[in-house]
Amino acid sequence: MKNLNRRTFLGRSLAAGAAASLPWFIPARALGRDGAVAPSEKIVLGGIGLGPRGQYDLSVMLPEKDVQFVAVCDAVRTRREEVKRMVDTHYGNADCVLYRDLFELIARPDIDAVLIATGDRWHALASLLAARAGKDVYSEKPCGMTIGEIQALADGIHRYGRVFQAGTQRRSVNNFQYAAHLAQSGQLGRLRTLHASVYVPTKSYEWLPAEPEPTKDQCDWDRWLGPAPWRPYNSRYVSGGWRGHHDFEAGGNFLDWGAHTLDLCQWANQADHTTPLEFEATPASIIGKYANGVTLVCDFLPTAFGNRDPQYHTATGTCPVRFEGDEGWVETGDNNLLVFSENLERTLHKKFSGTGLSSAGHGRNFFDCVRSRALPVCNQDIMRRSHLACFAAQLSWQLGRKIQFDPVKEEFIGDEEANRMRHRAMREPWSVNL
Amino acid sequence: MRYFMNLFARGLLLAAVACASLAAARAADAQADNTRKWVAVLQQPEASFYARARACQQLGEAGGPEAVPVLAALLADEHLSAYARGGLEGISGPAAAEALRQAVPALKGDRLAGVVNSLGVVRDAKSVGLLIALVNDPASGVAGEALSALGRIANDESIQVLRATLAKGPEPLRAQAAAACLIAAEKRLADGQAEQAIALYDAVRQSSLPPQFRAGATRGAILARKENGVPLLVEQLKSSDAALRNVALLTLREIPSDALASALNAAAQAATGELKNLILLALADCHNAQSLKVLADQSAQSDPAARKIALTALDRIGGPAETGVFLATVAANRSEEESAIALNALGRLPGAAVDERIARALAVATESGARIKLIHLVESRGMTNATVALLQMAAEPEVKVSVAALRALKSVAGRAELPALISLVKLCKAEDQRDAAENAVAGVVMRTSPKTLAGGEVVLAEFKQAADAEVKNSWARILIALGYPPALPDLRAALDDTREQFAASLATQLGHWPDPAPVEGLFEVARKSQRASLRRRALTSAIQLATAAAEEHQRPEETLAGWFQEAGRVAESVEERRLIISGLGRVKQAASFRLLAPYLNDPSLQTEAAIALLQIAPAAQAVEPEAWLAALERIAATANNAELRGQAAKLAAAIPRPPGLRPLFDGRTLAGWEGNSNVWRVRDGVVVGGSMAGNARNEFLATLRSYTNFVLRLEYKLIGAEGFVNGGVQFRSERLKQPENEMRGFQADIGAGYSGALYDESRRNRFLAQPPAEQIKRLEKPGDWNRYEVRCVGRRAQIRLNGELTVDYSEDDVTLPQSGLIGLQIHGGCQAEISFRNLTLETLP
Repeated sequence: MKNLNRRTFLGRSLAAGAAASLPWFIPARALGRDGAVAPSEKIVLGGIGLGPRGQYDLSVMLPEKDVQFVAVCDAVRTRREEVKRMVDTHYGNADCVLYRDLFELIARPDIDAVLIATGDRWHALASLLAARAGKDVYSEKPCGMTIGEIQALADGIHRYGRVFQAGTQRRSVNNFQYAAHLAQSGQLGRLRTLHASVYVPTKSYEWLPAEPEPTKDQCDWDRWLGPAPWRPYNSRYVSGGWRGHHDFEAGGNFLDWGAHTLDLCQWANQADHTTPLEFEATPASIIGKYANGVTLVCDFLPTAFGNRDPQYHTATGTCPVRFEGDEGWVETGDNNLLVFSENLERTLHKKFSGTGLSSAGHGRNFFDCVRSRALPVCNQDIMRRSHLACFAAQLSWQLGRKIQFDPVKEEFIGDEEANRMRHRAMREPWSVNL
Repeated sequence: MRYFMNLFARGLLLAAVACASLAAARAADAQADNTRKWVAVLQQPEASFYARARACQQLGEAGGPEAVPVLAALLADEHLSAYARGGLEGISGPAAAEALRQAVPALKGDRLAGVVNSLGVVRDAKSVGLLIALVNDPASGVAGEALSALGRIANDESIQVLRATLAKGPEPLRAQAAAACLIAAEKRLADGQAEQAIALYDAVRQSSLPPQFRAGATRGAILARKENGVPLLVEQLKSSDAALRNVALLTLREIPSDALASALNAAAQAATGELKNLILLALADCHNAQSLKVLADQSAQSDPAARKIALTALDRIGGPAETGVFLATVAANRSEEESAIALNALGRLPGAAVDERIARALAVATESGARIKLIHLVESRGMTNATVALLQMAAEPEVKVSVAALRALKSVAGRAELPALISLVKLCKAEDQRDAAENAVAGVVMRTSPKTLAGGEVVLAEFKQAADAEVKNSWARILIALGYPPALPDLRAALDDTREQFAASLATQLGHWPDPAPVEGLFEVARKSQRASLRRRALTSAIQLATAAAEEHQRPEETLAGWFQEAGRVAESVEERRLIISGLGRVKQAASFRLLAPYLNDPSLQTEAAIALLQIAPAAQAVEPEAWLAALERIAATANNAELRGQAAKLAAAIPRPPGLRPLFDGRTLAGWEGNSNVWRVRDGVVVGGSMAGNARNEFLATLRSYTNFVLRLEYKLIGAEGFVNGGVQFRSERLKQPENEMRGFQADIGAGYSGALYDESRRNRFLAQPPAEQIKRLEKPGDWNRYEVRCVGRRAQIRLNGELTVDYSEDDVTLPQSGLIGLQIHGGCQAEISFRNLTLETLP
């Protein structure tokens, strides 16, 4: 007799039993094309502003057999060239075309879809320009700088009948899916509190000292700024140091994780069509209230990448969320590990493959929808509500007062200042009115 | 009472209103103050660009209309214009709009475009005339922006211009006008004016513009028509234009309805090829009861792609009523992929009724592939209603079916089925089958009574009763898997069974007992038995159990150490010792070190011992540091595997050294040394002496300083071709005047068969101590790096080669100097080269 021993028997049978009944498990994709795909059948993909994160996204999209990446545009030469090296190495040719100007890229009729991973300031505008040129769009988050940009973006995607996926990939990662499923299916009892981890918000209006501008070929500063208001060049902005600056980063750092974690809470609460109605910042968190009575707690994590106990279980990984109901709770993060309240401990699934940072499944969902024209899991409307909730939460922190939000009119109730902060002017000649 | 409460409540409300208006007044004051402050910044000529930019932004967020003039004055500024517009867009209101309008005539290029965009943002109806003029003036350069702004304003006048431009405007402006029409249509729709919106959408979708405009307009035209949009949507599905088909597929997901689902059901049946598949898939997002029938029908058609998609869609929207469809797919056993989708769906459908149908399907299934799949399904659903059928199948001659059924029974059978399963164990002949039957019995017992193992007594009775060795073995395996304690005495007794093979096999099986209970009995057999194979297997199992016990902390450290010690005494072969070593490597306790270290001396076990020692490194902190360091250095110097050497060296380097330790060689120069520079040099960070071309005479490289009590550590490598290939390390020595190339004193010898020995150079000219030749043969790696250690304290000198003591010498002649130089030697009369590295000296008191 092989493979049977009392040491291991109970653990294994439990795992096998649970795995068979995972209800959200979607079988092999119906329209996907494996094996050799004729060139005419391939989704032709272009890239806009692919830095480290964009190059990561691309690295998991390149192996998709029914996708062909053909061109990238970037205001920064070294970035363009890095992408070309990566793509040409993958395909074993020298065909990846480089552009400094995104209009040249989106004017190409052969390109079906674009991957956008610029800094925040360009996301909405580039997405809209691509949509108006008839391209489907996968955009990294945050997908816009303001509530106004998010509204214009979501409306514009509908306007041109495009497929849109926001880069909030955790909705396509197993352990997060399972945690949300537990909340949605009532296995935690009636939902009470949803915890979303976020960075401690920051906001800087300071500028870095002026440096001589490089040549346009090295870095086209005007194009790099794009719709952001002009300021003197400094190389640190270009090499990633734009983060934290009011004019360049959306929502004062809140959306970096909030766009993921708050989005997961929206999902768990089956609130994709709405947002919390009220937000109030405390020293440790921002607390939101949903119409269905569920409380949202956006916990500030002083050490987002270090020890997160006791707020969260450090072992579950970065970007954690916790869903609490009357009959139990579940917590999970990027390490594909789930932690449950004691009463659920013995019955539920604990470990999955995949990591919260991987966008492979999310990218595949996008490409499937490019073919089927179905709505991706983080489509423009789902993104709209979770991003608006993020901006509203962040504004309650920035303004230091309780604010109320009307998710239908998408405006703050009785707070003109907050309402004004929904919008910022774009530098001429840019406009999201496309 | 109630009246009073009402009065009270009203009073509170009044107070709240008063507070609110007071708060509003305070806020207005604060806004006015701030506005003055920010305006003042903009009016200061010496204010920095940054200060002015920030003031504009703050005015946009919280400024009052008083700031409009200063902001308007910046609209022509190349870099501040965007900031100023931000201020004006934020303040909004008639004054801001007026200022934007008035700025238009004086501006051109991007600045003008920006102001036109801002007029669109604030939706200033009064600017329509101005914007129309800009559209109609080709020289304005902002006709496109003006069209967009008109689209946002979306009043009758602006819409008229948009439609005219769409119809008859110059080519580049028509696309811009189309976009503006779409935006205007959205505004009208939001204002409840669907008719106007539909007119705009229809105008754009009937234009000859690029597909995305027509597709977007078609979506709008369908949605604005609400339920009347269904025919238009279905018409697009049949369009020859892919853009329109695609937008119909997208739009149908936004307005699922029964009517649309009916239309889609019909369209799906009428369509062919790729389009059919896309519509079938879309039914998952827009469907009615009839759709399930359509999909069920398609799931049985001849086109495999359509079947697969129909199943995928059914999997998403189907319920228990679709059980039959999925079961039919499984029964048809078409492609693995289709079966997988169907089985996956069946695995998730809830309810006893589904269980019932699956059990019935299993009962009537004939094809063995389908039967096996259904059996797996029964197992994964944990169905308890199919055990009778499973027991029948378990007894079938077809092994695959029988094995699958037995495996399922392991998960779903209850106590009631135990007698039947026990008979199956006796019945099964094929090995896989019997194995599965044994598993099923053990599994059911463990699952139904994990603590008391009720049912074990029946198996034990069978074991006692059985005479046939093979059958007896079956029961033994089950008892052992269960770890059924009352069976231990009988199992131990059976080890003495005269049937040698049976006893030996039982000894092996006992190694799988879930805790170390059988260890002592196994040792007893290993010690006493005359039968070699039984003895060996009993020992192996004992070591396995001890190892597992160590990993799972099932016994205290002393007990475990005792067992391994006992195993070491009983072990006879290299294989058995290897097993002990590998077990010890998993006992992360200091005790293992003492048991492991001696194995480093055995050439046939040193690699295993090194691996095990490195594994217990974390526990070695409790070991005597010198012994631990010595073991590591030994491994670093002698292990055959480079990775082990590296790991050991790394661990050794991390151990804090005594304070007196210093390097004798800086790795680059011979600073601190003297000798014949034609003979001694530094190459690749190593001291090299002598030459393969030949060495005429003894040559020494000597330290400039003298040392008394110390530990000298170094590594040497001696390579040679001909002659007396030899070198050495002098200590407590001196230079001779005549002949000036020689040194006199103690030498730790190297090469020519004398490595590890202590020689008295140019003094008594004899070996003071010499290790056995076999030891050196075992320790030294000729032609490679070897570690040497010389320890001198008082009259005592010790030499260690690769971590092992070779000489422990006490000098009787107290007149000889106990202090002197250290020297490196290459012998004369040979073609040889000697290298030294990692020379350190630890001075001792």
